[in-house]
Amino acid sequence: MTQSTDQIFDELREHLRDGTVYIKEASEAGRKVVGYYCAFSPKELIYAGKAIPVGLCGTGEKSIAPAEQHLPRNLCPLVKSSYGYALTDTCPYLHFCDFVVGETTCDGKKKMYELLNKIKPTHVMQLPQTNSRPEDFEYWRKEMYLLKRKIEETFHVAITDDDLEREIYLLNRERKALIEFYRLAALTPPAITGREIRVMTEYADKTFDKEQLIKKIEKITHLVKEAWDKGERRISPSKPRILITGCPIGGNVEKVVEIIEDNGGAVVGFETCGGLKSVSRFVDENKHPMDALTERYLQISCSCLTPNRGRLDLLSDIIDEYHVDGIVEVVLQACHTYNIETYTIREFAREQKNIPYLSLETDYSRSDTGQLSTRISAFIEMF
Amino acid sequence: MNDKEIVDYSVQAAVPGKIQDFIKSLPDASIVGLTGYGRHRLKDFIPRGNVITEITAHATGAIMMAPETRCLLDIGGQDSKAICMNGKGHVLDFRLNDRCAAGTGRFLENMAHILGRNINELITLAQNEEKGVPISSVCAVFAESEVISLLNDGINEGKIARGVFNSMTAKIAPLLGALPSTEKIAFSGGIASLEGTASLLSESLPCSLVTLPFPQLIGAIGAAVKALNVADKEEY
Repeated sequence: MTQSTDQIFDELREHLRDGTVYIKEASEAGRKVVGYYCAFSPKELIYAGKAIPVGLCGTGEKSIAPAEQHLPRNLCPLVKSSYGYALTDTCPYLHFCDFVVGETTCDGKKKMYELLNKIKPTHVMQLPQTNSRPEDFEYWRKEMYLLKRKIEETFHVAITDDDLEREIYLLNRERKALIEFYRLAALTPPAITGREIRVMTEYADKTFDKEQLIKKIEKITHLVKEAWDKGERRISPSKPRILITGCPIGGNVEKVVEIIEDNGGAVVGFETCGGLKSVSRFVDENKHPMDALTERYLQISCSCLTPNRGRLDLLSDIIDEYHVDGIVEVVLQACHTYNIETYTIREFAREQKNIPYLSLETDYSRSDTGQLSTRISAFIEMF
Repeated sequence: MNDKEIVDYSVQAAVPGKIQDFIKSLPDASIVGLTGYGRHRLKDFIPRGNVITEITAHATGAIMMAPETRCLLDIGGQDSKAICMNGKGHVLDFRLNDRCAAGTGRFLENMAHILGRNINELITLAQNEEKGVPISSVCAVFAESEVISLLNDGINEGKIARGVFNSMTAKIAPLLGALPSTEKIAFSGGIASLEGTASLLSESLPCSLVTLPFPQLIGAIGAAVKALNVADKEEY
């Protein structure tokens, strides 16, 4: 019997936790594991060193209170939560890590990594604050080589260009498969919901057999598209199409997606880390692999870079391709760089794209659900 | 929209445990509009109710009462909001205050309470004073302890009262600043219904606040108008 589209995603949901078992067994079988927190971490380099890169926990509310014993309250919940997981040893992925890769993205993270290093060895990549000059490229390339050396020395391996090229090819295929899947939401009406996009993003992030994963994503994309082509309509075409942008979405921040979709909006994409921001650019397969990785990872359009022109280009492309009617920006409390950038994004939405824009500041608690609901419902009533 | 008029109204305090009594006290009507913080809760009791947010309700209500309105400032008990709209009352953009109660009606109530006065007395005190003392506009709780310190320092009540209104304005200005600028801004909410607040608050604003008729009812009026419009559409 063939699965319905709903069943496809129900099944994915059931397997979201499989990654922990995979990592436990891999670690016990002698595989090396490298944790990371951020889209800037070059996963190809880690795979090329025969290790498994795993995205670490950082979106839970529970770990915040323990973290606040060491960290100030008035700090980004993502930074606090990440540290709290380490402090309480409640992130299974971190538990099995041999070391962690961090980057000097924001002040909160880079100072937190000093403390994290006392719990788990942490290799911090020095990210330049801007990315358009040849000097920035040189600087970041040196950091790439330092990480390469760190992996080679720690795990007693030699990373060859062939290894890198193989992993670049593999992860580019994963990106391509994910982009094709995300494009199901560019259809009118969208074939998938924002919640389903999130489930797939999580599932892909926590599935480490990438060959299997790529096959699975391609199969799901095919099945959903086939049903859509046959006339299956799960989302009303009259719903305003909303793009979410800003800080990473995950854990309790998913409340924003739920409120939008429960109040008549259709979330069609995420210009966030883990979402389109992470997969939208490929690693150039025709360049020297280290140069290609340097170039690609320096182009992540994070607000920690100044200026961050790439974000407007990416937003513009997504808005056009996904027929976006309105933008909702999610800013985590005390994330100064995204918070300041809301001004630029608001102006861009209003003047360049002529679409409504709403920015929300939130954290991992559920205490602001009422306020968020009022703001989001009013925003949706505007369409 | 102009063929509609207000036939009757009443204002009641929201008492969470007495929702049944409140429902019973309502006149019988086939078309009901619901808005505000309790809108979804009321829908459980009045399933025919047409639910809209207070943002949309205020824009609709403001256009009903003053069709030339394009920007509205509403200062409610728990939040304050700036809304801009087109000639049909369609919301174009809006801003709400952040989580803190500074810049809301609750803030004025608390300040009056610390001075041992009611809100009307606070207004009179402020009106009789040329210049206020600076009071933090960042946080309602900090502002309370600041006012207590000022009283202990022997600063006169009038200067404090005036300072309280200046602090409100400082909180409101960024809300208005985020929207397209207009010379006149319609003013609604419980605070607007008190004589003298519009001029006290607009003193250092680049625009003037014009109090709407029935300022406290604008949201309810908007919800009613929307519900009527929805009912009209359904009839076709």
